[in-house]
Amino acid sequence: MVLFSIAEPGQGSARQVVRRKRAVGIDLGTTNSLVAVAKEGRARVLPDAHGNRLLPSLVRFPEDAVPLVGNEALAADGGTLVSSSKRLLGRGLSDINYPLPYVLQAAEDGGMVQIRTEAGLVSPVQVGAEILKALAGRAGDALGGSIDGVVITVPAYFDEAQRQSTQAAARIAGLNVLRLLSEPTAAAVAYGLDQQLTGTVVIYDLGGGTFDVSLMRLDQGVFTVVATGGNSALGGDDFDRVIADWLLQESGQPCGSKEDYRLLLQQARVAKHQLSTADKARVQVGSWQGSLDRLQLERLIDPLLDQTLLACRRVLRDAGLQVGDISDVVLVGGSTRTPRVRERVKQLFGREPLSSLDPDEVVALGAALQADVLVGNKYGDAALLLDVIPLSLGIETMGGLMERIVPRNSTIPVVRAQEFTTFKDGQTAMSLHVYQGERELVSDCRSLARFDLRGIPPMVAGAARVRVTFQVDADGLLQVQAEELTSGAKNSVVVKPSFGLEETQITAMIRSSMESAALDKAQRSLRERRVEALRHLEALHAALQQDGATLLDEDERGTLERAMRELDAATVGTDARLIETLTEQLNSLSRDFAGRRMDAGIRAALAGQQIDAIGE
Amino acid sequence: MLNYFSLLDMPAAVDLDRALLDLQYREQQLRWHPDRFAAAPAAERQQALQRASLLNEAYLVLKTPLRRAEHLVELLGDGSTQTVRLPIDFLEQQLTARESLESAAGVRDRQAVEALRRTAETAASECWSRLREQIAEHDLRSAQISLQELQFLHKFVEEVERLEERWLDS
Repeated sequence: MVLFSIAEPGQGSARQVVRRKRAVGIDLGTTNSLVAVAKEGRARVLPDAHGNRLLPSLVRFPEDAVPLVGNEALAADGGTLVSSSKRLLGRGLSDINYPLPYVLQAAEDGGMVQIRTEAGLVSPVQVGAEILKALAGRAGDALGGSIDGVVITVPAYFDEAQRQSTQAAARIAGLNVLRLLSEPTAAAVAYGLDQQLTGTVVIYDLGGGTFDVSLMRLDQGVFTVVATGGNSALGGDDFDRVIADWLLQESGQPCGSKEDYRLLLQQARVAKHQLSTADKARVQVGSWQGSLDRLQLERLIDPLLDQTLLACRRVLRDAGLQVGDISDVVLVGGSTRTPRVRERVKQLFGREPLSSLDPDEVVALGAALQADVLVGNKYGDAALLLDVIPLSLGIETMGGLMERIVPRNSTIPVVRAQEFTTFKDGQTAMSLHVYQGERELVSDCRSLARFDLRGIPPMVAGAARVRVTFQVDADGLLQVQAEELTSGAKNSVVVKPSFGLEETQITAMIRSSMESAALDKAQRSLRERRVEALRHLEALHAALQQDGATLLDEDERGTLERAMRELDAATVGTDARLIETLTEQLNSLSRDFAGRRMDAGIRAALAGQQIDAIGE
Repeated sequence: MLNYFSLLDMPAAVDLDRALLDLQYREQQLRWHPDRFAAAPAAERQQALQRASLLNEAYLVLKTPLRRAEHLVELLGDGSTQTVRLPIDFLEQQLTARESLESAAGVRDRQAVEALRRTAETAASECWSRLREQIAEHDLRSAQISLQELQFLHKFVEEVERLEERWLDS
């Protein structure tokens, strides 16, 4: 039995709220990301300065410059454009079995995959941090101050490593994470609070790169996740890929470069969007021209949709429910705009799915509602979200078997402890390997972490009692501790997932992020100096053309022109201080010349007046 | 040892009012869920996390009839873990049932499998009646035996369900 410390009831967090706190909900999506804010139970999406609500989840990493995010990244040239990085979070190189328009590299320690960019190797976590920073900046501008806390949504199917990576990204972005919330839960909050939905609801969430299906019970402000399932590597991006592959096949054109494939994917996406309203879309590959119709699109994406419907049936079965028990089906994610998706979901559940809230925005809205409550801005009866873990957690035992300690769909937070013992006489250490997954053999599950428990006193085999405790918090994050009980020796270890990041790596990224903020500032200052210097040079150049011959002697003119050449050369470089010094030097050198020009100008003006006066 | 019944303010019994249990759990979670402490100091957050984890565990145990009975018998024996010996004829019955299930599964005899399930379920329901009496009479030893028999029968029904699920999938 684990010992818990229990507080006096009522000694909770009763505290006065002085200032209304700024908290936002962030939907960190594969294709698009959004930020929303809530006040008194109503949520709204915060647009950028140009009125765009969606931020494309794109980051461009140029050489020697700060990364660009969203539409800015799309519009710029040069550097490496990173898209769909959410799918790489907490993943190793061997997990990525689909083409990407950029190059990946295995991490040296065999951990999370890295992206080769013109700015050097970048972790998917850093890409996420850039997007989060951009969204927090947008929110800060809109709400007039820094953000006190954020709720970030993750697919319900995200495993330990993926959740940890998301949280690490937020830390690097300097954000205070109030809660990681699963996307379907967030959607349910939006519908439950905003639209007063109650009953047993299926949330069908097909995003750019992930598919989640969750069964939830919505009842008087308590939202309980009953069961969840899905596929963390299936989404609208896959629609684009099958369309692109079909285009290649139909056209018989070769696909030479990564850039070619990127353009092809772009065209596939455009055609897919057109087919949401039109019956036919024109397509072109090289010199080949053709068309894609709805029927063909359905044929291409139906196998992918079959996978999602199979997952829906599995979740129903997990919950011990029939189709008839479902009171509503909610559609979430941009990919549910494809009419075929709606059609197939309707077929399975025998009812028209709900989409009264924008499927692209509903997750961010729900996250914002929850963020507002969590940060301490209370209004009426706040909702309580009871989430579950999507995958079982366990430990490897003799023979490579998975011993499940916390089964999937357990309500979180959860604590479970199990005792293990030694295999050999005199064994003083134990190697513990933590896995996540549903299969019997650990080789079929995902390795999360391994660590050694040392200092076990030598005993006969089977006499030691090692208690392993799994604690999953409300964010779905796991801590594992192990201790040997008979000796009273306590050795506990907190685990980081194998595909996550080491604390030192995160710290290094936070530092580099701060440096890049400093670099950003330096770059802005360099740009300003350059502009100022060039403006100065241009004005002086014009003045010399006009009055140089009459107002300056040979020496004076030579000195001035030398200083101008020096400054001109400096503006090509990156030394802002040098540009500033040379600009000042040129300023003082040309002061005399400017004075003479002014005098001459006044004289000329006076002279003109005299002429005018004579004319009168 | 921890008493999950008193934690959730429920009467300790084999049968309980599920609606009342849901209500009690909900009220406690509304008070202790870590989301209620998101802006609180770390120590309070940690306490809330532990309390909420405990509530989830208690709720899971109490809402699952077999686990609830196990917990009740544990409380009755004050946590002592004696091993009990099951009657030999019960074990023999179980062995025979398992062999029958295996051969029925081999030839995909759905009717035979269903019949085996019904037999196990009838035996379980008789076992439950005995257990209720034994607990009422504080007959710890007999209650432990009934509980173990129930565990056997429960596993058997689970196996049947897994088998039927595999058939459903293929």
